[in-house]
Parts: sequence; structure tokens; C-alpha cells
Amino acid sequence: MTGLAAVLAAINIAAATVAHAPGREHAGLAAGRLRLGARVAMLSIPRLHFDGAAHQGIAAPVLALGPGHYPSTALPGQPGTTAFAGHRVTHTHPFLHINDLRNGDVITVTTQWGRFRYRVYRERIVAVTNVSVLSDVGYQQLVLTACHPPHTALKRYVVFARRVGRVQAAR
Amino acid sequence: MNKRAVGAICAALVFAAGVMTAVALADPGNGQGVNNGDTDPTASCQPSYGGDPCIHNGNSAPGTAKGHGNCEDDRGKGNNGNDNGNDRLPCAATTAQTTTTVPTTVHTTTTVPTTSTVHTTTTVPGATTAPGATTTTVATTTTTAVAGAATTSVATTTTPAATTTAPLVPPAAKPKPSTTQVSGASTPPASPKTSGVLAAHSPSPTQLAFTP
Repeated sequence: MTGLAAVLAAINIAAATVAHAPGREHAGLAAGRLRLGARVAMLSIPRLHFDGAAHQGIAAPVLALGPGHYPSTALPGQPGTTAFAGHRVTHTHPFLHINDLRNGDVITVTTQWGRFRYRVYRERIVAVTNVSVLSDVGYQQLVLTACHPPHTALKRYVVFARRVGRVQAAR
Repeated sequence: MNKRAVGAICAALVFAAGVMTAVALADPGNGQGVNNGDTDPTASCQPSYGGDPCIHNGNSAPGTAKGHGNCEDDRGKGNNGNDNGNDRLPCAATTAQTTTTVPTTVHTTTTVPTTSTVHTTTTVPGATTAPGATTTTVATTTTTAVAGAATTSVATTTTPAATTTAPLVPPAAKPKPSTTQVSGASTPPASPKTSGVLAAHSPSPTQLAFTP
């Protein structure tokens, strides 16, 4: 484990002190209050054969660990859009085959306050500056972004998924 | 012995006197002679002093193709020879003279005063008018008249002074890069299930994450 990872692990420990209150759904917690590098959730994307942790922030050191949560977006389970970014071919390349996701695929996000399921309903290739994909659309939405085409950073591949089902208790 | 000495002294004196006389006769004087500041070796060019060849001083009258500079000969440095007393037109100190020679047969002398008044009109018998040959570009209005035996034409060319200074225009303000702010992302509305959840306060990014 690198030094940076050790620091982030310490941050995670601090983040773990956030009150874990099943059934209360992260009451008192906001994305903007999470420290950068803190673990936010566990992502499960069967189509991509990915199960791993997502951390707070989209800076390079954070993304080097895996998917990162856009701090300006909502936390999983909150109203609005929850967005994660992941590398395509570098580092842990969690979203290497993001373009393989199809409508109807299920993505599960597990947090300390519950488990949330999302179903993919749209894919887009957008410009780097098109941050409108992070906008609130009036319902709970999950957005995954990755550079596109692979090995480049010319554009961004964006997957949209809408929350489905009821919240389940985190195991 | 004394006779020899006296004779020698006398001979020396006679010799010295002869030499001084010869030198005196040979001295042309100050400013005299063709070699003194004069590059024109012709006999008609009388000696002058101190500068330009005498035939180049101030001859600008019609028919005398040479000359430049002085309007009148008697203002020049040359004080003799052909430069004195040429009967040419007097010219004002503020008048610029331009001699234009057309390659065909047109010989037009155009006087361009600083005012809009025609100063000199030259008639060229048998000359043909070449359009544009007498075009003169000055800051003020210039009128040039060429009267020929066969044809009489008046070419008037008015060229306004060229404006070389562009008006100063303040540079346009650079437009700010259009960034789409994520509305509502920082303050998501609270739902009944998540009442009491604080909103995220992180600034919206201007670009999507760099994740190659």
C-alpha cells in the first residue's frame, strides 16, 4: 500500500465514524461534508464484473484507487443525481468495458445506510465540458462517467441509470 | 675671399627672389581654378568654391534639364559661371516642384502648390496625353492641366490623404467560457424519506472527471 493509500485509509477510518444508523438513511450526512478520499459506497456492476469501493472525490489520487464520487452530486439514496467516475484503461480501470452496459442492466450501490438498486436506461458520448449530465433530473439517478474512446480523454462515455426498488438494509 | 663670399650671397639672394616670384605668379588664389571644389572640368564652368559642381546648382528652368535643389541660382553657393542670372521662374519657398517625364513624348512639368490653386501650366505641342501619366498624389487637391495641340485634356486627380492611423478601438472583452452549471446538484431538494439530510456544498465541476 502506498503512502497515499495509507493516508486515505486513515481518512476512511475517520469517515467510518459517521453515525451508522440503519433505517435512517444517512441522516445528517451530505456529500459535501465527506472528506476527499473517504469511502462512499461499494459498487456492484455485474455486466462489468466489477465489485469495489468508491471514494469521495474525482481528483487523480482518489481515482487511482477506483471509482470516485462527484462531490457536487448527491449521495446514493439522496434525491437528485449521484455520479461516479472511473478510469477506462489506467490504474484499476474499473470502467474498462463501460460501453458494454446495456439498458436494463442493474447496478447496486451499497452504503452504510442502505443498499440501492439502479437500472440502466441510457448511454451517451458527450464532450468533456458537458457537465449537464450531472444535473438533477427530478428523480434519483445514478451516472457513471469514463473517458472515451479508450486510451484517450477526448470525450466522456456516460451511462444513466434510474433507481428502482425499495432501499434495503446494508449487510 | 671676400669677393667670393659677396658673390655667393648675391647669387643666393637672386635665386631666392626668383623662387618667390615664381610661387606668387603660380598661386591661383582662394577658390579659384577648376580643382577647387569643382568637379566640372569644362571651360564654361567657371571657378567656384566650396561645393557642388557649378552646373548642378539650381538649374531648373525649362530647357535646362540639369539641376536640382536651389530654386534660384543666385541663392546657391556658386557665385559665378552659368549659375548666375538664369531667367527662370521665381519659386516660392513653400512650393514643391516635380518634373515628370513621360516615356513617350509628353514632358509635363507639374507644379504642386500646397494650396488647391494651379501654379503652372505647361503646354506641350504635339504631345499626346497619357492617362495617369500626370497623376500626382498629394495630401491636398491637385489639379494638373496638359494642353496639347491635337487634344486638350485636363486630368484632375484628387487623392485624399491616406489615413494610416487606425482608430483606436478598445479590445473586446474576452467572453467567459461557457460552463454549464449543474443546477440543483449542490442543493438537491429533500424528499420525505431523506428529510433532514444536508445538501452537498461542493462546487460544481467545469469538466467531467479525467479518467483515461
